[in-house]
Amino acid sequence: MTVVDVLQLGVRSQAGPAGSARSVTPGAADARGARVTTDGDFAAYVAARLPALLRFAHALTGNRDDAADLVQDTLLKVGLHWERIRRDDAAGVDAYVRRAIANGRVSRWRRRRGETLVADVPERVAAHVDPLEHEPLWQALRGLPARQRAVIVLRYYDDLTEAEIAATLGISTGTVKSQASRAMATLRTRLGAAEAEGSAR
Amino acid sequence: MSGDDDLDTRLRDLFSGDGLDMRVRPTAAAGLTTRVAQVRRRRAAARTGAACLVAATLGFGAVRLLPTAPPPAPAPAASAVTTAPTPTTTVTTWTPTPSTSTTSPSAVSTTGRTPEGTSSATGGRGGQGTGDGGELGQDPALTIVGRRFGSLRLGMSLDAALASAQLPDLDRDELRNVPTRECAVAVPDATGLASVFLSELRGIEVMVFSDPAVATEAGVGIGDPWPTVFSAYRGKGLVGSRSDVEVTVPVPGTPRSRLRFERDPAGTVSRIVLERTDQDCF
Repeated sequence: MTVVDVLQLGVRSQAGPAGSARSVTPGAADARGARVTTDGDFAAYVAARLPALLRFAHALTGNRDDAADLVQDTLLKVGLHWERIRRDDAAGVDAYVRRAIANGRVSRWRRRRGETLVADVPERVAAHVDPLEHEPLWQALRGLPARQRAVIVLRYYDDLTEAEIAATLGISTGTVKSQASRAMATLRTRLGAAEAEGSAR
Repeated sequence: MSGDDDLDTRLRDLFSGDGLDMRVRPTAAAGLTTRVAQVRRRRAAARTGAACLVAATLGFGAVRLLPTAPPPAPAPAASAVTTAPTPTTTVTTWTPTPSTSTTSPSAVSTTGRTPEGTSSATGGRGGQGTGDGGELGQDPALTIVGRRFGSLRLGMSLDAALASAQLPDLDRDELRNVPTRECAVAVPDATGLASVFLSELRGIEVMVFSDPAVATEAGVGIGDPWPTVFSAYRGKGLVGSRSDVEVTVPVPGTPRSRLRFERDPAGTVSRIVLERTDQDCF
């Protein structure tokens, strides 16, 4: 499958059905990602992996525009050091990028359009309706502090262990545990409140 | 099924569903690759300028990195410095002057720029309407000089920041509706390589720099090897280790502010952050 084929097939070719999102984890990079990585072609890597990276960033940020900003900002930095990253860990480029994305901090407040580093990474669709907009769990996740949200995403989206999450975010496993605990407690509280509110209507 | 299991399942279902999908333009990869090449060229130019500037300032007996914007009235060129061009500007040469190179122990400045708004670079609150961080506003070390942020300063109140007209994206009503404790961010610079985080309560809490033209007084700049931070700030209260993705250094004389250095996967300094120690923006 060529890079063009990947793009034309769209996100589904990367993300797949339920459960397949874990196929793009650092520890289980799919064959396509590994192939383009070893090819050492930054453009090919971006073309092949962009949908999955955007999806991952979307989970992290809770916002499509922030996700696009985060991914393009990260890929710009990675691109600037592409040769070095490939040289140091050719098999782990995708892990590098995902770690950088996980550590990237973007505000939920968007930059001015047209001032992003790359203008045309995501397709920005006017009047786009986010299918998750009315999903209570998604809304509860969006309200978490960035680091707690990152811990939850790395745990449930990427299936990372506590040690892997700690290494990814540069924090201790104890902090991972406490952040996860606080996040889950908050999610339960908010979900409970949302469901109670729904029942009352 | 226990509550924990139920939430686990719901999270996994959410993250594996179609809702996270984002469509990508076919030209995206090529566009980004082109942008990388552009930034690489600009960074190369910036490094050249920074190297020349250090050589020039050494002649004045102090290594002080200055803003990169061309001065309104350049002094006769004792030694020229090539500045880092932005995508919309051309390469310019200018000469640093002794007075601007030695007036302030500023924690962060931008290489190759002349100061903009000298008054803000000299410290003091000066009716700027700082927030509750008087201890921040009184310290010139926390003043960012240069065109990028103009008169904006750490500790400046939201009102003052709004009045500055340098944050066109800033909306007070939006700030009030932030569902988390994160601050709002606005990007006053056209390059998108600098940003300011604010809260309604305390005004400007964080100033973030990722422009290759930015460096600290100690000489640590964006793109420098990560170990440079540790050599530059050895014995100066650095918190963190070489394996960390970020470390902090206190700003001398200002216990409520610090510098944060962030590392990218390539092992270089990716961002320099000037922030309140108690900021809750990120």
